[in-house]
Amino acid sequence: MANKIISLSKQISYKGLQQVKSRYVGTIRIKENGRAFLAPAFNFSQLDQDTYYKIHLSLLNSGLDVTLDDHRHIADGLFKQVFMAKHPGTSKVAFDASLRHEIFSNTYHLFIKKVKRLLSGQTLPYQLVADKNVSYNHTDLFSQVYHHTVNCIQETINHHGYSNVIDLGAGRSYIAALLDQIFKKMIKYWSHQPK
Amino acid sequence: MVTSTEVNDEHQFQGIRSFYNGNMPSRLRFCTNDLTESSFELPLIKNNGGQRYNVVTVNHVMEHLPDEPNRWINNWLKLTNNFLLVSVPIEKNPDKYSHHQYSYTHQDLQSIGEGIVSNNPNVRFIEDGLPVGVLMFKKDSLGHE
Repeated sequence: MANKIISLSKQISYKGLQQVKSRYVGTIRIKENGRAFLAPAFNFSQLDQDTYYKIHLSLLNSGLDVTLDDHRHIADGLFKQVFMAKHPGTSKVAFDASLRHEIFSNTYHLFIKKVKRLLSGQTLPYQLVADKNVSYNHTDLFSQVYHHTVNCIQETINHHGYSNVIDLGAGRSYIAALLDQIFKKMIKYWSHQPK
Repeated sequence: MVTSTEVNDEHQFQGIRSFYNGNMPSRLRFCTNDLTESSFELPLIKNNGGQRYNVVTVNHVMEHLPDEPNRWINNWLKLTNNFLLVSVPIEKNPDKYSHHQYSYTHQDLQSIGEGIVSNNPNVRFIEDGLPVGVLMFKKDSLGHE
């Protein structure tokens, strides 16, 4: 186990992480099945934003399946919901590793830009392919959750002409950006539909 | 309008502020709050012009809280005048690596949902077509506030 920790830390070469490594690398553990996680004692709030994403990126670059929290799955589900809205009739959409990689890296802004491109009707520069490494399909689950969410929004729009939504415990703030982009698109779409 | 909340950690919202280059759209708001505090909903309603929200979503949060699901859901119902969606992972034991405090089965959720509506006459429990691990409630007060 100790060797694996050393091996992982060697791959974390970012300056920001190096600065905090002496304090935090001890909390990084690797399970026997190869999944890495950060122990509960790890306090994200003590890190600046860049360092936080660099840690994600570093761990993902290590080739391990990283479990930091649930939020990547939520983002996947949201993204899938956008895709399904743009391409009705699509029955199967999953995400490749590079997309997930972007979600939890310091390039997550690119991910949001891709969402915007998708919403504007542009073609994405890569294929969405099934991620065979995901044993429990959170992406599908959250896609369904958000499908029901947008249905609720639609009903309140139909009733009021608008909808206000609150997401409690939204986690990383890109979730809000995705919600914002999706809802903006949905509201624009629904406003042109017969009541 | 989309409002996004997280525990008392303003740091979480820095990324999105930089994404919008300081020009955050007015339709997008962020609030810090602690869902476990009593009367947590009051500042959130105040932030919404004194109105409850049409749709409240709480995804993969409840398993991180102590085992008082009825208390949490009743609190969250105070925030909405229409819909509340709650989703949790279905697991036999709490996933300690994800900091889960409690685990729920499908049967647990069914029982919790039925208990909530039995004590709230204006709340309906919607079951049809929902994925496993999702509770949806509809409060019949829309348009009466």
